[in-house]
Amino acid sequence: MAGSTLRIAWRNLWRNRKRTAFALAAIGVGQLAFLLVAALMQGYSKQFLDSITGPLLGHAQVHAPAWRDERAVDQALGDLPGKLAALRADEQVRRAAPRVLAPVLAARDVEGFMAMVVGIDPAAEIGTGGLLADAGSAGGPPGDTGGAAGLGGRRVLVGRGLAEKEGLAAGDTLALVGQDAEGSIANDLFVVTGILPTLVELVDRLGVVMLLADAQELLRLPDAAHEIVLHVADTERLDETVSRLAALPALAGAEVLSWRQLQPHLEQMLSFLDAYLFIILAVVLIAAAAGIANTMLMSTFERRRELGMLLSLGCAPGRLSRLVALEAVLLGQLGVLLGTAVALAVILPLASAGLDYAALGGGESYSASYQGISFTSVVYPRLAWRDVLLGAAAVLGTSLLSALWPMLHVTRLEPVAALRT
Amino acid sequence: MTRPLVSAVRLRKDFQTGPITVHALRGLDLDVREGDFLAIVGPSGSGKTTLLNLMGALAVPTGGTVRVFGEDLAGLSRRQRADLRLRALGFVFQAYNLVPVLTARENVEFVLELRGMGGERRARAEAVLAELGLSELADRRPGAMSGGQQQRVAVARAVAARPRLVLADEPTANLDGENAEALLRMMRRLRDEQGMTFVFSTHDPRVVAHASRVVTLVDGLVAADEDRNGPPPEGGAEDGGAARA
Repeated sequence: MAGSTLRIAWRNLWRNRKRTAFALAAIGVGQLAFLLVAALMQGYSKQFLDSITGPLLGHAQVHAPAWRDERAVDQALGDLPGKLAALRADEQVRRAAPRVLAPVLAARDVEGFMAMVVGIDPAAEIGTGGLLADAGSAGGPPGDTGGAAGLGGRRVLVGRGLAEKEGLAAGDTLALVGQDAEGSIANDLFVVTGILPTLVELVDRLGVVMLLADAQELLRLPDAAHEIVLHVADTERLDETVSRLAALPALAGAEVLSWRQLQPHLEQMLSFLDAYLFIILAVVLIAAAAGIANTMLMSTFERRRELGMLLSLGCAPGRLSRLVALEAVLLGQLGVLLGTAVALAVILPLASAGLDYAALGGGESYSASYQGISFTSVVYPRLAWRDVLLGAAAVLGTSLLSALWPMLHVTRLEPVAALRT
Repeated sequence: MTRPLVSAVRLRKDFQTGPITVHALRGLDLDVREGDFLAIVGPSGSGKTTLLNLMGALAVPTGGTVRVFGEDLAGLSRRQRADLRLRALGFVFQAYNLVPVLTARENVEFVLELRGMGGERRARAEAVLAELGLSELADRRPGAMSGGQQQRVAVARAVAARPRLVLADEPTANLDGENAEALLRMMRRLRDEQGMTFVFSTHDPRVVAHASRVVTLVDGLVAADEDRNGPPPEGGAEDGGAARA
């Protein structure tokens, strides 16, 4: 029974090829538009998330409980080797980067300026998501850009913004003065060995990046750090991982917080993107509904006599209305298929090459950073199968809704009246 | 005396056209007997098609009774009438008889499928088409057939399930002489060989010439009932569905 209904439904679609083509185009363009917007938003969202959870914030952080409120030098995590060993033993932890952070007064000549000591473990900061990820690869003439080799032995890298503002260059000697963990004056001389290009605004604008051991010595923080920035393997299981890490005995007395807990407003921004996506989906559905409803209504009214003949033969009205529903579903899903195929052809190349908004508008590519979040004019669209299925399911529901009126019409059709038309 | 397949007693059917009530049938009495090759003739508006629709359970009477295979139509729901049509009746219409997106064989198969026939329906459809000399049309869709060929396939579809009664509304109206003659000979053969009963609503003298019985309607009443061949042949259609229905 289902076989012949499917056969008739499929062939009926092609009785008026032009009309079906228009309907397919409307649905296909709708699905294409939805997937393009969804892919761009997914790409943007991922870049945004990568930026949020990049070098500065990480996926999660470990602090002394009062660190976030007071930012005092003495609010540090002790027994750093023990804590790092426990964290790195967890299978989900991909990176555990200890950092010492302290505001200092810096001076090259007579005039001083504000700076921030950033003590790092270079081995934990190399690669994507690390503070040294951009070192040696992003701009500047050779020798002007620092790297891991430029640290240690009171040698430091300075953020590019700070260097430009204060006219710093490799070879300069900086005097740093601050307060150590015991409340005494901390001061020492450091040699600038390079400029650190980074999208982390704090480091770019104020950062004097030094070896963790140098920072610990300057600030009298033996085996201690202010924070440990964590990156995990599976972000979908972040909350579970954070809970597990917080329960580690080695971390007793420390707080382990995910980026969502650290920056709840940023998560809210990401959820806005999802809301926009649903608005786009609604527009797509309206286009699909119009295409399907028009096609099904026209097709049903045109076939009144034929439907009357089938009723006369003893075909149950329910079966005829199922036929109409099936035609609507086939039309909708075929449109979805076409739209998805075109979307794949457009999105897949862009997913690797990227789409430069600035170039589209005739401008030059740019990268910028604000409040620790980096922005770039190049977006790498990401097509999620979830969105393809979402579009298909939404069009399926819309197809059935659009077919309701024609289905009702068929159900109420009197064979004699229909045969007379 | 054979029990009538259809029995109409003081049958009335009114239609409301705006404020005007049209009395299509005005208390008509008629029996259709097994084996009849019955032509219902009469001027336009005499009630031929209305009577055929009532016999085919496509409509219900305004007054009187019409019993089809003993079932009083007035007591049947829409669904039960559809079931009666499916199980016991065959229809041939004036035009647009076939599902245009199906081939001749698929059209015949479709009715068998509606009747719940399983895997053997393809073979049955092919056998019926072959029996009626239509095998060469089996894979053609209606658009690729002449009007006469379409009507012959429609007859094949109507008789494929071996109904006891086939109702045909102006089946030759759009056919030329040769096609009309071929169609009528085919239906006559089905009556003679398989004992099926045919009722035609027609203006066509070619149909009247083949009829074993001619009923003339005037103003919704039987004006004449001419039995030309004496008693119809013995033996009935193999359909047991009619009795079940």
